[in-house]
Amino acid sequence: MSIDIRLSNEKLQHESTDFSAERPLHLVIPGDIITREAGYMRGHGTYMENDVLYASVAGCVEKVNKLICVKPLKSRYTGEVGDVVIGRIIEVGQKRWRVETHSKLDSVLHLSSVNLPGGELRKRSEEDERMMRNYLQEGDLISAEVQSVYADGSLSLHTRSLKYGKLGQGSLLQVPASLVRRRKNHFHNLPCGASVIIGNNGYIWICPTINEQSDKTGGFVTNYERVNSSTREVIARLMNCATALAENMVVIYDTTLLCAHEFSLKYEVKELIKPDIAKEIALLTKQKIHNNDY
Amino acid sequence: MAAWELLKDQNFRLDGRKPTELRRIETRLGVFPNADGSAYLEQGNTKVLATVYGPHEVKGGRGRSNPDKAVINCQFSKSAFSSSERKTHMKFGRNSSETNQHLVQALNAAVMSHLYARCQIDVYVEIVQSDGSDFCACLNASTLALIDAGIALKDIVTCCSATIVDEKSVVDVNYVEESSGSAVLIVGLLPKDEQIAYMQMKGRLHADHLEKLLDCAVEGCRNINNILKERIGEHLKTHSSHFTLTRPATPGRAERSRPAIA
Amino acid sequence: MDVILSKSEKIFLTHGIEEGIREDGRAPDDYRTIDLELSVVPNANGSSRIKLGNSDVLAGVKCEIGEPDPGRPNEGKIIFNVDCSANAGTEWEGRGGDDLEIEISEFLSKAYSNKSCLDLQILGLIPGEQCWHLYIDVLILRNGGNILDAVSLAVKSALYDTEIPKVLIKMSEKGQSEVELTDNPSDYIIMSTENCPIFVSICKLGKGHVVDATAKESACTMAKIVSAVRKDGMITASQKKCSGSLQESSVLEMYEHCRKVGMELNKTLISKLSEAKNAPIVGFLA
Repeated sequence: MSIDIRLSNEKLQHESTDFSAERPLHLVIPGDIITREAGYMRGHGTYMENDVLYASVAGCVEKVNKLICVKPLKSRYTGEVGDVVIGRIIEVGQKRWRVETHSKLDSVLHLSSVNLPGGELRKRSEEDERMMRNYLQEGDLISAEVQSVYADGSLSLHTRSLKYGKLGQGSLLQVPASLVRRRKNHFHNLPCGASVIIGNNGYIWICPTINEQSDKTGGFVTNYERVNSSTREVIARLMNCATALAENMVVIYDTTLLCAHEFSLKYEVKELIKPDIAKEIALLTKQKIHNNDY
Repeated sequence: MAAWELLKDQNFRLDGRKPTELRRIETRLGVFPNADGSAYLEQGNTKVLATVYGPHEVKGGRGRSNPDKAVINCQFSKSAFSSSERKTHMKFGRNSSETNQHLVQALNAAVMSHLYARCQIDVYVEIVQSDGSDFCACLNASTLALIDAGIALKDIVTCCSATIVDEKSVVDVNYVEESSGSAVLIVGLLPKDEQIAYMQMKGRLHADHLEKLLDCAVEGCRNINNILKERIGEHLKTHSSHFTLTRPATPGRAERSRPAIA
Repeated sequence: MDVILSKSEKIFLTHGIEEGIREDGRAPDDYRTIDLELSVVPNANGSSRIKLGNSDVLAGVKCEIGEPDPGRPNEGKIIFNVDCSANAGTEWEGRGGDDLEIEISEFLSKAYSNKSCLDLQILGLIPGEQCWHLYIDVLILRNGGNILDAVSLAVKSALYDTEIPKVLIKMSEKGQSEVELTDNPSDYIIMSTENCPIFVSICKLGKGHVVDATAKESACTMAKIVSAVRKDGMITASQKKCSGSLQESSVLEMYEHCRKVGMELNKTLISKLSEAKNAPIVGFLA
């Protein structure tokens, strides 16, 4: 039995290290003038008034060519075509599922955008419409790709690749979407003995290692076999590492996750949920990533 | 002579402030990680927690949603132990639903709600401790929570109160001054354009005093705004290190194209 | 917060508990870190804030002079009131938290109704006429699982922190007793809270059971037993919750478990309280 009560003032000691000096960031808050120069295009987080470009959110100014955006520290997920996301089915409708992806509006997954069991090129019949709840029901988790973005910002998803589909046993963690980088690959079989899917929407799925050949069935064969305890420990450790990184605003991708995992090994898994240990691991990871300049 | 009369002679207020002096302001952004945005604000002994959920799909059927802009929904409540007299549950009283509407009105002036068509933004405010200017603290905390949630705002709407004590207008009214019976003016300001987004007055006031009082409240708003801006800036600085890492590792298109222009 | 889980997530979580490895690596008997702070609400006679993992609870005690119950003329009264703040999540907006508020405050009243918990005689002033009413207000700011245990820790801590003003009882000219507050604010009485109970919730998931369930674990819980445990292991109230049914043997087993955990939790809390009394107040700024 472990019961640990601490006094609230005990946690004041840690001061976060300042890394911002190395690469100065252009930070703004709502109402700040970004530029008076003409010829820039206004992107997310900005607005134009009398030819002056203002910030509308508190964050970091990013310029790409003539486009100026302000990225807030955190916000709801704004999807882009091609993003990998993890979502939860919240409603089974006619020919489509409604999916919660932590965007401002719910996303949709059309029946025509999923691989049905039995092959990619199968025709969708009325039978399939009736069977929709058998494929995916309320509460189920899926990994998917953003197929298109509607005018109001809501997303249409697809799972037409064997790597996408229903998720089986494992743990889900939610982190701010701003902490997830857009990378080539969001599916990782980590050497420490588990797989992780890092959704662009900030949902992170950690599960037993996915076997390339046999497991990629689009998730329609659900495996309810018991997961062995060593795998469970790895998953729990990765969960706690990812939580530690998120709580201390450290970017999350395979490298940082593995890095945090490595630093965490000197502790027991359950020690990692203690706030000061979590912080230590996050800071060590931050430092290492900065020094190596990934 | 009583101590407070001495203070009065020296142009000091009951709590030792000068007429235009604000109470100490302390803030913290991101108090509750599970919410989209949250903030804690102290204005002297008035202490407020604000939480933002959303923008999210409109609750209670799409009928309530607006195809052009976001629906802002505010709920204000006051904890039973917030004031020296214990009062329970005023969640559904006329007073609190009036406050909710006023908060919605003031926030609507700042939130760029056309960006969040068909969405709902929930703002919940809890007064943990009350010592006057409750509404001001609620609005200021709500603004901070919206900023923490990354919701687009035209400007940082700030709120301040003013009243008249002994013929002099004083700013950021505390509980004792508030209950003295003279008129209290509350102003919510969008400082960038000097637009008044919210105004409320209670009590009797001679028309001649209005300008003076309004000036005093507006000046208070500006000062609070400067403090809040500074605090948000500090928060950004300490929490933005992940941006240096989120930049693409290979030079982005912007950098690569630069030599060509030169 | 209400948590929805898929069937396979539930299976993964439940199997884990049966094997003794929880999602966050804790053993079945482990609590998450508890943060304790006293005197956070200056307008109350006593207050505390407890953070248990992701749950966050504020409790305040206010003393007011009122009339005693006719049946108990020599005793004061304690009145519990729980408020689920909408800050904790959209589902508690409006009247959304009402059911939980009533459930928790009723259970608190039940648990404290045992005479051995608090000496209510100390709250009596003029027999049959005046006594102290202790209003214990609990504000739930965040629900990250196991909210009941967190509430009970906050209540016990707030009572420990409570300073009841000393009063003088004078005879008026008409020969009636009158209560008069002393002018000295440092003149107060403190109640003994050693015997105040703490709630221990034990959740049964599959074949295993755990203490201090997270929000996700609560979502998979089939049956739950909550007991109010005193430091000597005596149980002053108990309640089975959730829809699943239990066998007699597992009820007894869970009871024993509650007792054991409750005694340990009491011991740890009591030892920390005196330290917390003199600690600087940080409140919500850290």
